[in-house]
Amino acid sequence: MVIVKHLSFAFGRNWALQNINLHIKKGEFVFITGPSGAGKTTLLKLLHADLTPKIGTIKICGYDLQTLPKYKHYLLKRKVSIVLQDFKILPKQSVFANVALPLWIKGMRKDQIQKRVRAVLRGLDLVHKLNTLCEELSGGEQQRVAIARAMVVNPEVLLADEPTGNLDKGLSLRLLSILNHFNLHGTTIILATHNEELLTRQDKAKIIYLEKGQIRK
Amino acid sequence: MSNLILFLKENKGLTCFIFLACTFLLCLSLCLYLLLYNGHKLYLSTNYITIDVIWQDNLTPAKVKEHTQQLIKKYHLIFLKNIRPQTLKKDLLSGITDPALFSSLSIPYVTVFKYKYIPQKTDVSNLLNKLKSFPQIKNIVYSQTKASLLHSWMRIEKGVLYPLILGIIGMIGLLIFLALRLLLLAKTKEIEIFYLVGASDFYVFKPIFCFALFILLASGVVAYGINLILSNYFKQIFHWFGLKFFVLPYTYVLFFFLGLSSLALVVALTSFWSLRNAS
Repeated sequence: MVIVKHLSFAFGRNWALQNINLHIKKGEFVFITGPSGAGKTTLLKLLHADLTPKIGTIKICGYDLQTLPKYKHYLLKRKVSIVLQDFKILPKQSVFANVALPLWIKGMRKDQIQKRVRAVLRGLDLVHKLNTLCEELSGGEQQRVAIARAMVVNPEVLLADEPTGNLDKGLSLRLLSILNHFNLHGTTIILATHNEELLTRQDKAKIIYLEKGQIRK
Repeated sequence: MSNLILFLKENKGLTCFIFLACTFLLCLSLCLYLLLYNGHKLYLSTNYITIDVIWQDNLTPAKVKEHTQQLIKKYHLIFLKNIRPQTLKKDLLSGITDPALFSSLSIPYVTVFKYKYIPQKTDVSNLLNKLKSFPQIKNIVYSQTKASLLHSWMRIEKGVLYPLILGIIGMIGLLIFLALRLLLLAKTKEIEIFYLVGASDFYVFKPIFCFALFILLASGVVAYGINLILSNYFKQIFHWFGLKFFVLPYTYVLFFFLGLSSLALVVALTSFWSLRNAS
């Protein structure tokens, strides 16, 4: 599902990632952990083709990112969803509009969109905020909107960067159970987190520890 | 369609400004084109110069005929008529009470030719000089004003009107390009999110193109309407000068709208790619 070979990436002269090798199978649950500035977000952005690697290769969902032209990146992004730390949601739009956005882009029918969005929002306890503007939501709620938007397309791979960063303990655990549910249905989850409690609660998960841009264990 | 309506609603002020500016500029370019078209029609209908060749006094009618054939062959002149000395004398003497005044005057044969004036291919002054140097020709008479007017029109057409129309069209393109750039810059975050959730280039490009197309076609239709109304006034002005007025034919109108659609495509593509490359 995800094969990373000798991946290195630098911002200017500073190497953010050095010689990363990964092999993640379909349906795996992977935690990427490590201190701040270790390169977790950079790795996720590279996997999502938001950044271009300097050295090395990435193969994800059958796409080789070295050979995949920029105008075809959308094909990858329809299979690989990402939840970023800064949410990247449309503040002036309603919760429904935000979550339904990837489905509209895909050209799905209106009734199907309604059904799917409601189901996902119900799971994330946001269905009562369906028509609320995102700018009126709290940080935690906005994060859940971003998670709902990533999940609504049933992605093959879900990349999440600190998805529990703005959530309380109860919601974090609930989110983990939702991610587990998706994982059981075949979605590969790659989750970057600081939250040690999450690591202990997920027995079968693979844990990758990043430090100074390199894999330590 | 709903995307376009949303796009227009969100940017009402800018849309109105661009629409009005494009309507004004398109109206101006259509008026100029109408002037150009009518001027060209007039030019095509009057691009003949009449040259009166005055033969030497001693030439017989047979010789005149022979030399006329020679000139027609050599300089591609079109024969119009021959004026016999008697006819000319009769014309000159009409209204003159004392015929003795012209009794000693020898009047030559005159042949009237028509010459097609093609500015790129022919040099009128060269031809006139050649005719003047012809030994059997005493003198030639032609309309210098007409020749210079025809020459000036071509210069105005190529040097002023065409560049002006192209300049206005360029201005319209630049105006829409800058408006689109402004709109896209304001929506950078939104577009980034679209790409993040799997939008293709076409999905992002579509509303940009639709916006440019809508603005250009809408302002084009209004400008054409205004131009049709103005045509009536132009017609009257032309009639005052004794000239025939021509409205733009439908093929030209079709070409105008096709041109506007192409311009919308080019401008939308340029602004989209400048944004794509910047991101």
